[in-house]
Amino acid sequence: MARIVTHAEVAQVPDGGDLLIEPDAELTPLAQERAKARHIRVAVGTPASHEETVSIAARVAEQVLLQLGTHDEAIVSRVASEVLSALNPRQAVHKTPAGIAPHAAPVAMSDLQKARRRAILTSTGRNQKGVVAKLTTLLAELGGDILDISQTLVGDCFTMLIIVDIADMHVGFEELKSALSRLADSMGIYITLMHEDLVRSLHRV
Amino acid sequence: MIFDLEETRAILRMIETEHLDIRTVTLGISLRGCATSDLAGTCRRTYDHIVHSAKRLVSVANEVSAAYGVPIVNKRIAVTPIALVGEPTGASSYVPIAQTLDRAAEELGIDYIAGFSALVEKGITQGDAVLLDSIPEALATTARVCSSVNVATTRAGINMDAIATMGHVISVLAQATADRGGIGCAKLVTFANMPEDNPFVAGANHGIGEGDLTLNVGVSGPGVVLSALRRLRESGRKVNLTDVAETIKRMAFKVTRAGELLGQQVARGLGERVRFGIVDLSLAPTPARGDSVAEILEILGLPRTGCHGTTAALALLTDAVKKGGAMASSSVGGLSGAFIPVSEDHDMVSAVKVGALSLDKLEAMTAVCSVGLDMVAVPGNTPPSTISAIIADEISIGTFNNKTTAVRIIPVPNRGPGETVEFGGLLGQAIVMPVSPFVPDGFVSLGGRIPAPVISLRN
Repeated sequence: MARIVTHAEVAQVPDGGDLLIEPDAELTPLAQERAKARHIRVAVGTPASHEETVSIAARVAEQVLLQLGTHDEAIVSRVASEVLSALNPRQAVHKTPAGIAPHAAPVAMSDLQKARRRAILTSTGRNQKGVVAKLTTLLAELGGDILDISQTLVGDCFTMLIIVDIADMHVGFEELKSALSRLADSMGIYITLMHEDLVRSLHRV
Repeated sequence: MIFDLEETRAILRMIETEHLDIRTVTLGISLRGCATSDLAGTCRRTYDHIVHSAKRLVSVANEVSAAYGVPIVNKRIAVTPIALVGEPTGASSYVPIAQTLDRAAEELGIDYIAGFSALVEKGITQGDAVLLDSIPEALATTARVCSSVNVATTRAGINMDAIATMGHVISVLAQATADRGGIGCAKLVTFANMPEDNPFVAGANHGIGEGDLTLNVGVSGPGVVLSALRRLRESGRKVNLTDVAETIKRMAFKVTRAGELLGQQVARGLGERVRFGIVDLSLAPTPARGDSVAEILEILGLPRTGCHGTTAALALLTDAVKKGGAMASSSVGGLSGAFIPVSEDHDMVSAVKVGALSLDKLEAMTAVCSVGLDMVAVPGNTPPSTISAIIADEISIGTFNNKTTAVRIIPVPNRGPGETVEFGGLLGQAIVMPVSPFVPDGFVSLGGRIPAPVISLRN
């Protein structure tokens, strides 16, 4: 069972400090909120012992100096201690790459994405040149695959319905929606986007 | 093309202007594995298990909600009735367990956690007695914990001893939260035939027949039904009540489908251990205008909710909602029907204000709706035996008609009939309703059990 990090643990870290959690530990929503509010950086990793850190610093210093063509014991130990003091007070922290979100959603989320492969896009407005071109170009650029498209013109107005496969898109659903709404604003037309399964489940028996 | 523009527009309209939402996704968590013989140990295990099991509930629900554009208003937790979990500790108070539940809910970013409950329809065990005793302090010292007590079933009859106790518990709880209008009582429900999978607080709990983790969904949508009926009336054609029932049924179908779809997605997002349970399709009002059950009744031509004809209109509404829901999903459960929480429904409060809706009429309405006397404010000096008798009346409607009924009554301290009390938020505002001045002390003090009705003999 993953260890849960609660807000009580976050409360012990000073403002703007670092919180190191084990790879399988997770922060609760309240802990995340508090950490964010107090600018606490959360890193995932295992704490290294002081001896390990000292020996790593000495080894790295030695190798770097060798490459530079000097091999003076005194200089090596001086560089190593400089590095150690620069690391201080966090010298015992051996971090994995920064930026790992503690709440990163695991595998289950991608299942969720797959279940919603297709979206229905509707567009209406005053007819103008390039409506279809601009819309389809935007979808293609973002990695969408158009499965079906229909357009009707009544006088000056058009209505368009596009079914698009969004499984392989480079952007999330929300981003796609906002990209479309920016396009809609620039062209003075109206665009809606929703998952096909929502429409299907509400209107089909 | 298998879809048309009107269909997608209809969905947008439902979401954007008619308040279509998923009222709650409620994760039911079994705490049976957390019972130990030591109170501190039980609290520790309970806390760890809840926080572990529900750690991603809020984030997954938000993700699904954003992806579909349908709001999921509340994320909540229901647990195994605490009387069962607490009994092995032998403790004389379960208040520490309630406080543990409260801390877990706070940690998870959840507004209510329900299941500080006991099932006493036939008898009261040591653990049940401790829980009943603990209710006033537990609810007065926590913000998020909700409690429910099942005092009757159609199969077992009505436990009048338990009902007599509840009258006292409610009075003490009201006094313990007197500075906030007796708000503690808004978190306590007394049930007949309590469902095991109801996702709506305050009456939610994770029934003993349930699995480890179950996600139940409560959908609502009085606004959607209201707009559909308004469009029907404005269509200009001659409309009768059969058309009304048909329209409600169709809207209930759509609302339920939306609920099931999102509920399934949330359950899937929470991982393999979580099973999707049921959709509870209940027209649950909020204090927002246009999100009112009373307004639906009034659009059917009733000048005010509570006038003669209200029970018939509510019967039609509740039945049509159930029929639409049953067609839409094979997993309809919980309370499913129409809620009439007085303080939470803007137009119902207005009806009380002008004297159209009385406690007696409300009681009649509960014979055909899905819950009971819900969020009803009565004078603070109402004697406990009168409260018990009000509960007994309501509970007998459920027991003898093979349905769920419940009472959530608030004797508002220092307030008399006609005065207003503000609970705030979703709990709304209540007008104190008068009760009968004749106190049924003798009847309530008889105690014992009202035997199960003859309809219970079904085998």
